[in-house]
Amino acid sequence: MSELLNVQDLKTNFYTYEGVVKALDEVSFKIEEGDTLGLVGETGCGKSVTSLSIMRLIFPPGKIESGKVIFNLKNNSKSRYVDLLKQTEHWMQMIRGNEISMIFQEPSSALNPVYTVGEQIAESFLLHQKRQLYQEAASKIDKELTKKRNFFIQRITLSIEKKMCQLALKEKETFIFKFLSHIPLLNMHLHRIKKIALDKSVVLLRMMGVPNPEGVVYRYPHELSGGMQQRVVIAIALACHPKLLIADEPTSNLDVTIQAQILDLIKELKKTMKASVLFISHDLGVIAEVCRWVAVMYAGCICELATVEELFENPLHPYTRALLRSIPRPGIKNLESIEGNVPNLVNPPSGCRFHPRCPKAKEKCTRVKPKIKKVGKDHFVACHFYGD
Amino acid sequence: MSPELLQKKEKIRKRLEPRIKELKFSLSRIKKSPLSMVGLCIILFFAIIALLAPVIAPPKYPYDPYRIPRYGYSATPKPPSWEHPFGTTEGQYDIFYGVIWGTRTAFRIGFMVVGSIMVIGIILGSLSGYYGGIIDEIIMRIVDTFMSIPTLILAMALVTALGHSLDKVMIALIIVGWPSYARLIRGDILSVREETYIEAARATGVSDFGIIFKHILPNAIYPLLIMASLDIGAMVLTAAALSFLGLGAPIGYADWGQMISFARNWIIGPPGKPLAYWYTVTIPGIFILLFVLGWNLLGDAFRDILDPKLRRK
Amino acid sequence: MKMTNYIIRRLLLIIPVLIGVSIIIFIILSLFSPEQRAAVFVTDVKQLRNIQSVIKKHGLDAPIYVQYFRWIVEVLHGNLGWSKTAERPVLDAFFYFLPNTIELGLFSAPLIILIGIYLGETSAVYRDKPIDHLSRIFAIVGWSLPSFWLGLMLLMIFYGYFSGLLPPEALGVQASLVVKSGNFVRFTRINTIDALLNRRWWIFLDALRHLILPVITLTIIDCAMVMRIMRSSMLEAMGKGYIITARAKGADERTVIKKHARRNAMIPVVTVSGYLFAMLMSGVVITETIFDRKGLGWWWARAAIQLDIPAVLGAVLFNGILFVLTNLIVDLLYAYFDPRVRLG
Repeated sequence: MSELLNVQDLKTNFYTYEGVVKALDEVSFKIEEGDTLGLVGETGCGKSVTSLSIMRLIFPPGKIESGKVIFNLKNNSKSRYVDLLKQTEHWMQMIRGNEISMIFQEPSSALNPVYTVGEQIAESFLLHQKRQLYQEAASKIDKELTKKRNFFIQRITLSIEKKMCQLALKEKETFIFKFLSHIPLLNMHLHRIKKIALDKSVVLLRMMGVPNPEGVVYRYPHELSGGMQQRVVIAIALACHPKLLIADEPTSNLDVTIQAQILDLIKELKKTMKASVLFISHDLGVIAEVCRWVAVMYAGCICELATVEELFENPLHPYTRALLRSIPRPGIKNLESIEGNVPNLVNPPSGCRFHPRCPKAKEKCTRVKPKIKKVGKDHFVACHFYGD
Repeated sequence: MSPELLQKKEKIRKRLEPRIKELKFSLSRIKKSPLSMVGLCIILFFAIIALLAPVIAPPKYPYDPYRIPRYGYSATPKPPSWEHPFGTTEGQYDIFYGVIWGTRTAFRIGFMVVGSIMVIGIILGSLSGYYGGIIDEIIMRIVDTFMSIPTLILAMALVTALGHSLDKVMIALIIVGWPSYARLIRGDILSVREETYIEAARATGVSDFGIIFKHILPNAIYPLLIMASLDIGAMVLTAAALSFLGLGAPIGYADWGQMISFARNWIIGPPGKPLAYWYTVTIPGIFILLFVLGWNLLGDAFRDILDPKLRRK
Repeated sequence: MKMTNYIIRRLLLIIPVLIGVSIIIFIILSLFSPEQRAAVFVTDVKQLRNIQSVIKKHGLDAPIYVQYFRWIVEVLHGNLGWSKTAERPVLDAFFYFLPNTIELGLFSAPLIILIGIYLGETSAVYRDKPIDHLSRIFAIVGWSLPSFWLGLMLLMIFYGYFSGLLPPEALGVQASLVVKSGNFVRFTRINTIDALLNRRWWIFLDALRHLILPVITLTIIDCAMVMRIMRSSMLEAMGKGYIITARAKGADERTVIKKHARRNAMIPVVTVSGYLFAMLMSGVVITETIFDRKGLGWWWARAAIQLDIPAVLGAVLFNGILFVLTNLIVDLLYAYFDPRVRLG
């Protein structure tokens, strides 16, 4: 197994009226190919910012300050490592939705209310798989042309369409081609590839377990239930078989029963599509169900990273311990809460960001920020009490 | 100070803290927004002109300072000179005197009209929003009806009926203007009404009007002020348009709209000098434009500052 | 089926507004003396010679509610009185003046909407950049400009300084002679369209030349509102979740703005376009007066000055009806733009 994503010392700030919010402070983690990493932490600890930084979807007033996001663009089992933060915006657009894609927290707001579900899924195909679509279109036209019972007019329109498809396949979309595509009668190839993309969306939706996908593609998002909407969002994300799927709290706004269905779906799709997943949640229980690895985040830093079993068996960081103690479980009567409040990230605590709330904090914790260190097989922790 | 008093003070401070913070934030944004500062300066400039009008342009008829003095009866306007810095218009009315005293007229129209429609709007809007039911239904139907006719046309009809004069123009504008305020206040009250703290206030036995004045209006005050600021400009503009059409102030009254209507026949000069009478139309027009612009800039800046949707976090 | 049902229901909703408008008109009417009111009830100027008989015939000295119902009956029969400024019955005068106003609206409304939307969108996309500041300044100055002053200034420059380049009135002398002559068929009585239908290109160009200044005046003043609404709704749309989804899909900035944000941002613009129409009518009164285009606004302004009561009240009634109808259209458009809105 090789490494798919390697995030190193990622730093992201937001320049607001109140001051500079240091949302991410040297976040580092890795995801192996085919693996699942869960990112857990309280609201506002920087989970979503991490995912958006990886996608480079941070817009002013936010800014990715430094660090590396190394992604493995594997081609024919040959690894090619690229730092996403150094690429052009145009290059990133080819990666987004194609190699890395994302599922969002709130399905109702993640879908554009004025377009049908089908149009929105088809857009993914149209953005990244135009070549395949044109090839399919061309072969379909050929098939239709061989049919005997064609009217003369039909033959002419079909051959125009074919010409346009060939033009699109031969040279990349030039200005002339784009101009011609706006003229009625010459733009029929566009309708055809849209139709093909729509057919693909139907197949995809069926895979997502949406009943009656042929009808659903013509529906608008508000006509679907929350669970169905989330399936559509997942379909959009998985349309182009990405290598990495970032799921940002995909289930936290859904009913419990639907939550389970969506989790099962993600697990199943992960297997069939052979994608790696970065799963973000504030719910350790959900993470334990889906992931192999967990990273615990606190106030913009990763404080512990381990396999799920290791973390639950042997939590080391005081924050992780407190977090585990605060999960309701059968048999445990009084839950503990963590003393104090989440720090304001404009003026984060010096040293270890957890020290004001840490029961064990000593003088060093207030001064020196702990580095993340290996403390066992598959176990890393950022705390002065562990390691060397 | 007794500890009780201190505690009370602390309580008040705590309750006001978010408001003060908000105010400070708004003020800092006003300072940073150059446009709102420009607007403020323009309005201050006009306020000074209006206050010092008797000094800047001493009236010829002290018993009726709004009458523009005439210097002859010739129809042809005369260009700016030392005696008449902005020239004279058709019928030899002094333009300088007219625009200076016209500032007072503009302020009077703006404040009187917007002040009245605010009061009427708040009262009817509160009644409508707070009591609901049949009162709400009747008031809102009236509002709908008034809002279905363009401002200028309804005002024109009213002025035709009431008679042509500046006071009648103001009455007409008040009749035309109140519905939008009533609707705004009603909407605010409806949205605030169900909130928990209103329920709490009601539970503690605060009277209806107490609730409206203490809890609902303070929340609605910002949008109201924005609207008022923008409306002062709009109302002065409409009044000027009516005066321009010949429905407003009597001839010779210091009013910007009328001064432009004096200039209507003189936009084109004698052959060879097409722009000979430029001052008759340009100068009063610039006064109207700047005055309205000042209020609009202020209202606009306030809207941007206070609009939570557009606010940068 | 749903559509027709909806339209019928909406048309029924017009009735209360119209009753309201009629009450307003009648209240205004009752402020006049019976002698002045008489003109509202006659259809021919000859009847006005004997005012006392008109007063008696139409019961203008009867109790107020009786008068109201009598007046309503007259209105329902299409009798809106005699307009002395137009020298014809109000309803006739209305159709006489309408084409010129339609022509003005036909040219300025699309410009107002297109320029307003374009400026608002650019402003939002390049928020706080120079272009944003420029278009906002343009909008706020346009909003503050007195339309009558702007019109006069434009005339001063383009009619005075550039001697007669863009003249006032609706048509030049020669062109209007041809238009009034027998061998020019007046299909719609809208100059530009008729000229095209008659294939008199020079008349078309002449009409166009006369249209430029009034259209510019209306556009500068009214597109500010569209611009500001578009800008704020565009800013709102750009912050929505579906924009991040589109970006995460790999859509380029152009697609994100033109496809995903714009369509959503248009919805609030559509909802206020009814008010835009009302504003346009106010603007028409001023522009037509200044540019001496004999349209509805020109007629109403003269009527108001000359105390032509039937014409002024007719204006109020017409605008009330127009407002209700435009809002019906706006509602239909709204449903088209926003699939979440269901008719019915």
